[in-house]
Amino acid sequence: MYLEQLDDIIASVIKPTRYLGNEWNSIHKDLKDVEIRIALAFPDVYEVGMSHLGIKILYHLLNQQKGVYAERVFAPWVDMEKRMKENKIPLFSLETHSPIKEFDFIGFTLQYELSYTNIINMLDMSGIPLYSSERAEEHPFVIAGGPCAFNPEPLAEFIDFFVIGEGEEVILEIIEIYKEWKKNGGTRNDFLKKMTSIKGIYIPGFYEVEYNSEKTIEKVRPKIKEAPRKITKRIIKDFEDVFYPTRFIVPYMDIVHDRAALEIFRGCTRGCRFCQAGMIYRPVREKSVERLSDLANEIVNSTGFEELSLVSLSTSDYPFLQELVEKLTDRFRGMGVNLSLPSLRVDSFSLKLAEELQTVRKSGLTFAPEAGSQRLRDVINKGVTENDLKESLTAAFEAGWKTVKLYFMIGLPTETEADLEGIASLAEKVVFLYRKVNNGSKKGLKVTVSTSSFVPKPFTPFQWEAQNPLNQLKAKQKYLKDRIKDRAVRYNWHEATASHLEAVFARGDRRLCKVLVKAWEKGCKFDGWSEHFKFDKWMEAFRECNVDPEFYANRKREYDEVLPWDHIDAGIDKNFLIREHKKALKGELTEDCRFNRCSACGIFRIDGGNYCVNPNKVC
Amino acid sequence: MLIRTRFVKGSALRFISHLDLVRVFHRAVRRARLPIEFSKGYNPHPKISFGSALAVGCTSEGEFADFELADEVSPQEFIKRLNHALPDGIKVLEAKEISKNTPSLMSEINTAIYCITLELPEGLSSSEVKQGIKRFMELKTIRIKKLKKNRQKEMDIRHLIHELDVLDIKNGCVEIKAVVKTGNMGSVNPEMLVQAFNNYKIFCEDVRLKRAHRKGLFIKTRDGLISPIQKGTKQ
Repeated sequence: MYLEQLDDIIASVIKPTRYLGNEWNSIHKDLKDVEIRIALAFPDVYEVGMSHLGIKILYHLLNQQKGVYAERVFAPWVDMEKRMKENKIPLFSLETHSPIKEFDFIGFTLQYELSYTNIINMLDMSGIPLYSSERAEEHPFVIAGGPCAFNPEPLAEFIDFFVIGEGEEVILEIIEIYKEWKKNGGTRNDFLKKMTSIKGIYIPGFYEVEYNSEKTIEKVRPKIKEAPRKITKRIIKDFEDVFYPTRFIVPYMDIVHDRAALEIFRGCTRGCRFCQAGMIYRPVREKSVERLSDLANEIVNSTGFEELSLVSLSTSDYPFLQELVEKLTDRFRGMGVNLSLPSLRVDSFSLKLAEELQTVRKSGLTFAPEAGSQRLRDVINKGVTENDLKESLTAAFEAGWKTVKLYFMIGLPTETEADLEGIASLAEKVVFLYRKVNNGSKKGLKVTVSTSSFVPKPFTPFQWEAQNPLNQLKAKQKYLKDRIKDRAVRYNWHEATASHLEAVFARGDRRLCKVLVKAWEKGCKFDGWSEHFKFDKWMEAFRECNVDPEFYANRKREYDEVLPWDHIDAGIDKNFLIREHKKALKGELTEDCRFNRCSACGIFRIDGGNYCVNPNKVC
Repeated sequence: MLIRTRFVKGSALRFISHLDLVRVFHRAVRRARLPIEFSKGYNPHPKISFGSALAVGCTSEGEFADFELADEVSPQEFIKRLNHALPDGIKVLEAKEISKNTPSLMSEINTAIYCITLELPEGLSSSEVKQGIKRFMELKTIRIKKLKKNRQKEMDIRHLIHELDVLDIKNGCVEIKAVVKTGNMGSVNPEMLVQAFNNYKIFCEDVRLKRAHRKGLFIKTRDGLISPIQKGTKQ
């Protein structure tokens, strides 16, 4: 509609291809044939949002439906936002450049807590009232899903309803009810009431939170009889045949993950105790080699991508990996298509595979021991021993690798100085092993040690734990900085202030809504980008709202405390999480239930146990 | 076999960079299932080579690329299959088999013809515009600033401008045909010309570039300009 003007603006900003919307395989429908319009929103810039698989699955699935048109919208970069505001251009969709306000739905994907201010900013740029309670009949429904929706509370006042769990089926159920409501007419509230009949939908406006005098939650109560007490997550039962896109959009610009993604399985049962993904995406469901190789073929033919990435939470755990890789390499021989296998556990098998495939550059190998000592690795249930590491590293160095990245977390529960020392000495051992293989020389070797600060997440055994106070995290980073002196070793760390804020929102409740708006008013956005992160503004916002961030980040909870997300059912038993937490403190391991006995995580409860593949499951 | 093509970069894709354009072709040949040759090594990429890069924001009807194929494909078939796999905004217009020993596009192309449209300040008459261009071409040196490796550099572009002609003046805009040097021996693009006009206040201090379109890339010889597509005909 304002195309002429938009063209001039696009010409004046950096990376104009972010805003074109006419990429290969992007879908352009005639608006005359469209009944329902959905804006799929990712609250970050194009190159980040376009690297996310979930939004692509929904995009192609929705656009397969007659009368439905899903378009994309990302957060405009700051230069573009400025130009848009100067020219009074509201936030627009990529495909048809229509104002977001004209859509029926705007659906945000919640991948990380530090993107929340961008959601507020995008709503504001769209001219949509920030608060759910202030929206009227002419406004779109603002909905959200993704991993962070498992604790929806910090966004409760802005989102009309959340979708908990996997979206492929539920999104179509929402559309059906919406069509009917639109046809028959009714209020916004009528529609929301109808939505309570769908499993996995959480409408925060229908719930009331009561607090105890010491500020903890007393209870969360449905305000209307239709609203369920617990909202159970959605799971795709038939993962083999569930919709999967093959006509992926091919971006013009170089995005973060500029390749086709093939999801080989969903879920993970390794049971790392800090990992939220490992809990909320259960159970494990795989696709067959036949189905995957058909999909791969169609994807490469329709996109022309030079790289196909086999994605999952832990690629090595796919039982038919060797067979799949051989089949795909055969198929793509002579076509200049590379396979990439991220999240591959480094062991002799994967090194051999990488060697055969030449998919991993000799320049980089990544290990994630997560903790510096065996004791602490046992606490977090990361089943990696120092011997495993030594063997893999020796094999890698013998095969010619020179660059090694090691990822750790600091501030894990029970961590002591000895564990930090373990990180530094592990780095030294890497240098030692390299010398041993290379006749005493460390020429060419580059070791990077990266630490992030542990953030306790909902639905993990560590959900009751306190995050280390900010000054302690900083002291630990300084300890490692001073301790790591070898010139072949580089030490990187994530800003502790950002991890602190992440911890506040990860386990936050509704009282954070006003802080979020306050921080945004003070100019906070793109908090995940260090050059835009304004920690002091955030602290001002907390003070002015009279909310104590340490109450959320640095407080240890009791098992009987009502947690803000207790009315969400992720399929994981709280008793399992308590058992795991107690075992963690004793340093006891829990085996992977995929290959061993069932650990009774509770996922088999959902829908009569049809999902869990463990033949030994206990009831 | 080697196929030389001439293609259009239209306004739908005028904002994509040269690097983006290269990626578009790499992926399009794979979608088109054309038997392209690949470079050797860890990261094999299709053997496609291009003429001088087009500045971001420009459209063109005269871009060139050479494709090295492992099997025989007729030029007609090549155009058909490739165009089918190219996005709106890029279209191959001509294709021709050339002999393997034809010099590369980059080594021979040395001239570009642009059509540029400028927004004129109010009240400027046609003869004043033409006078301005004449005065500009009579300058002995034409200095502009160029960002090179993050450092401002001053350079003289007079010798890189062969010809400027006023084509049309209407609706407060002037359309100019510019014949300039391009390639390994120095290049001028429309943005640089506009900066030069403004530096010497030819029309005013801040005339704005409204549109830039490349008519074509050429090889300048003693016999005049010839199109790269006419070179290297297979015997």
